[in-house]
Amino acid sequence: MPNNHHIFADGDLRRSEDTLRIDRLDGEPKYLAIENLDSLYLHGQVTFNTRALGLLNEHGVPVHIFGWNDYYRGSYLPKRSHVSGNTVVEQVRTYDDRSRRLGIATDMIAASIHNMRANLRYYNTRGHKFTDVLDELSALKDRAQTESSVESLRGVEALARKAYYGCFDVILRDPFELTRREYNPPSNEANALLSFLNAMTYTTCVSAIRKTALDPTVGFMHEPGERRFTLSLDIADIFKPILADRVMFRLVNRQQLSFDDFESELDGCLLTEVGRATVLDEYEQTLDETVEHPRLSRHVSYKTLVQTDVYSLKKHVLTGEDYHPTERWW
Amino acid sequence: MFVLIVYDVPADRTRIYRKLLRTRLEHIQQSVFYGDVTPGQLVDIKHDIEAQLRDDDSVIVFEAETAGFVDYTAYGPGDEPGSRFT
Amino acid sequence: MNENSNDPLEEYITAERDPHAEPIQRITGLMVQYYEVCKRELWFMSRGIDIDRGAANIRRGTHVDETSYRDKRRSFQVNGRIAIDVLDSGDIMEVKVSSKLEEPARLQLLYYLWYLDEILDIEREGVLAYPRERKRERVTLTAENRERIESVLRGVIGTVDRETPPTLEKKPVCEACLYQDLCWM
Repeated sequence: MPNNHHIFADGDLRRSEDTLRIDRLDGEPKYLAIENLDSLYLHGQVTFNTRALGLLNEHGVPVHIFGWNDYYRGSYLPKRSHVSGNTVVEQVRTYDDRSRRLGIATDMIAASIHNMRANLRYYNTRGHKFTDVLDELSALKDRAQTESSVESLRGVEALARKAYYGCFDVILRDPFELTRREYNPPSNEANALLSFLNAMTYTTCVSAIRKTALDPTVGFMHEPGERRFTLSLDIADIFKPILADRVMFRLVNRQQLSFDDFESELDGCLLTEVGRATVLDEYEQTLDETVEHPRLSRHVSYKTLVQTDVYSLKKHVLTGEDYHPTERWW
Repeated sequence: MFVLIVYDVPADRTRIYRKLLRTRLEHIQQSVFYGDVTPGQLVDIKHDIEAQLRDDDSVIVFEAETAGFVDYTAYGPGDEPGSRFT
Repeated sequence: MNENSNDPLEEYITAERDPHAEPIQRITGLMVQYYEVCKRELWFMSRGIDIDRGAANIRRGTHVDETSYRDKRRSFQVNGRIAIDVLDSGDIMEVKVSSKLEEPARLQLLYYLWYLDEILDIEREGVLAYPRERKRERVTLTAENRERIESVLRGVIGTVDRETPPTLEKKPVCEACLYQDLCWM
């Protein structure tokens, strides 16, 4: 399976002998096997030219760019070689059909709440008492099924997320604190960590959507016109509990991160470069973790789960067969 | 799949193999390439090697079903094989 | 059958014979194979529902294998519909890596023979070859085979015309199928 690659070094990205070469300011040039590259992440100061972009284009490799002050800057998405106009037409039709859109949004919210709840259930058996919140989330998941508009569904989602985030401070080992979710900019270490992991989850979804003919800008839960790819935001909400929150708990509770991995500036708190590398190492390992898939009868990685979720949505859009957003079953 | 490819070929032909393998595998040492690839990619790689092969070229392909089956110990400087960070 | 019949195959033949007409759905050799292997796969494929590059890489390298014999035959494109390989003897040859999927390969070859005969008025015989197993088989468009391929072609047209995909069904080929992750999710 192709893997992601993260470049922290500063330097030039070039095309050389049909593959990618990084000429680092410090150190030897390094070659990356383009055919075994899923997505490329740039965290350092990297310059690149159109030949390098052309190569990435030919191989369908998306580039996600992370900046210093602002975690996620944006993505360069290679153009698709076979544009399937039909898929986009059907996607927009589905979006425009009130009841079909509501159906998808309901399934997404239900899955998202299910996955939040799965995390709390896990920590509930590990010395914490979350019984009340667990019940509340169950009730909200049921309530989601009865809402009659996407707007009111968003209200249910907001309630669920509030109850869920309310447990974070209890789960996180001291000195990490998360009494309020604040981003833009993150106000403390736990918020900074969560923002970074959420951004990574988002880019994982962008890459997965890029591999289908679905248009990333047309979401079902989020309103198009928001500044990011709304379909990615939709899918990311399903996976954040699995790919972001759980990884944060693990990093903090196993003390893989300390406050030394953060730096506070005037405009908020940020991970240092060393801190980011630690987080990404754990994040990439989590993407590689596998579970036995009941519908596919084989082991699939978490990264593949994101992909199959998008496939399921695409199939739903094209055929009307049920969409199965990923609900943690393991 | 785990793949390790080593070659010993006349000096003027090393470039051919290097170029061919670099697009899919990691160049870990002089004439040594490592990678975790799909079975389909490995078929491609072998076809490409066969297409280049001349009498004096020696190429050996080691493979294992899963990269996890293979342990390694690395001494000295140099990136860990399979590192996703630069 | 007469001109007014609603037989979709008759309509197809009429459209194919007319140089100024175009059948609504072209039938390719691959579609005939898929019909025999999995009708659902045929439906997805006929709609141009695509599979991403990652998934294509995962699967066994059989597709690559099949292309490696190309230099030993002469290939022709017929009406942009079928790609046939012709041997020096004039026989039409179809090469397969293994005889595991024998029936679909045989039907594909029968379709080529049928197409040549029915649409272009060219009578030919076929050879099904499995170089790895050193096996060859002659395939002839007998009356019985003609009936068989025509019923398959009606089935192909019927499947492709469906509004929704044929129902999900677990098959041994699922594990090696490019559409697996889309189909079962």
